[in-house]
Amino acid sequence: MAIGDYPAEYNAKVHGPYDPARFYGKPDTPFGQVRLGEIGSWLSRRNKHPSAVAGAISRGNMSIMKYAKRRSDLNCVGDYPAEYENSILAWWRWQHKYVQPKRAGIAPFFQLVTGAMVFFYVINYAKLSKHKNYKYH
Amino acid sequence: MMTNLFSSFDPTASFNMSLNWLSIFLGLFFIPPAYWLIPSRHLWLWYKIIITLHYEFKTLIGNEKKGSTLMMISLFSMIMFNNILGLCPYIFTSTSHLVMTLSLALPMWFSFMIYGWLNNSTHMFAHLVPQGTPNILMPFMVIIETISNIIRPGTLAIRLAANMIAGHLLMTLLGNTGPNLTLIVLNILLILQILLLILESAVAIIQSYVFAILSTLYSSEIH
Repeated sequence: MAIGDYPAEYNAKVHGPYDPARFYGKPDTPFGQVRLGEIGSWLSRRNKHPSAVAGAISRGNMSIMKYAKRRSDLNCVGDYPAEYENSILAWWRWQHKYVQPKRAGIAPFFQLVTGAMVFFYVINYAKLSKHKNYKYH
Repeated sequence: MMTNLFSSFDPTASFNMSLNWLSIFLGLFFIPPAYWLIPSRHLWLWYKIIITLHYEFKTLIGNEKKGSTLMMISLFSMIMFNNILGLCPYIFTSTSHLVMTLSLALPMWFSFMIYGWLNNSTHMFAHLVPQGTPNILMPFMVIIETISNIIRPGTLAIRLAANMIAGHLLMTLLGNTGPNLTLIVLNILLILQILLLILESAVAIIQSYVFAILSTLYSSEIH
């Protein structure tokens, strides 16, 4: 699987148009349904390939996708099946909730700006934290 | 408070790395991606801006060179995002550094010059004497025009960097007087800072536009 390729599990004939927000691999088993003997394989079930990791980060969560669908005046392509996985950063989840709706507001702009300000505050913290100790200025 | 007037322009972050330069790429997150067939309001606004800029630049470039407006629009958006995001607290303004602005202006000017002198030498020579110059002034005009051409990348770079530095400096200096002021003066300062911020937001857009439009004009002079 080279960079930029569709995931190996994706099949255009079965799944229809490719959606970066959808997980095409094996559906996830909820933790409540995992047997004791399967815990080891359940914990290590994720694909650790770099592009799979990037895909997981960019993917979203189904309930919020439905929310985005309701909010936008558009009909999304196809239905969103339960294969959607939770992910940590969820770029597309955020995109569909705040950026992609037809009547999107100014919120995503301020969210990005706030995030950027926090990021640059953190990486400059060592420098900034000394400002209060300056005697002459 | 700062040890140095210019410490808010210091690209060095923690860990002894110039991580603050990362802010150059922040603008990429703000470009709305086209996902649905019908654009969102962000994308629609973005399209509007790009189309307006395209028509602006197209009239200056002329119709022969299709697609070169794309380069100028990208240049404009890159500088604009850097300028505007730099106004937010703690975010580094890369366009306040000559190393950034000159690396945009100089290679572009050089490529225009190389292209022009190699392909349209006569035309480039003719440009050294403006139309209607009296004969006696011609030698001087050549000198003046040559100098004004050579300093172009420098003026382009310094104009942008100086504008960014001036605005930030004014706001940090005024802001740093805050702790020593009485409540009434502090309120006046706050209002003044808000007004300054509005002015600087306008300057951020205007300067990126100026940079792009002048680059377009320089490119139109070589053919």
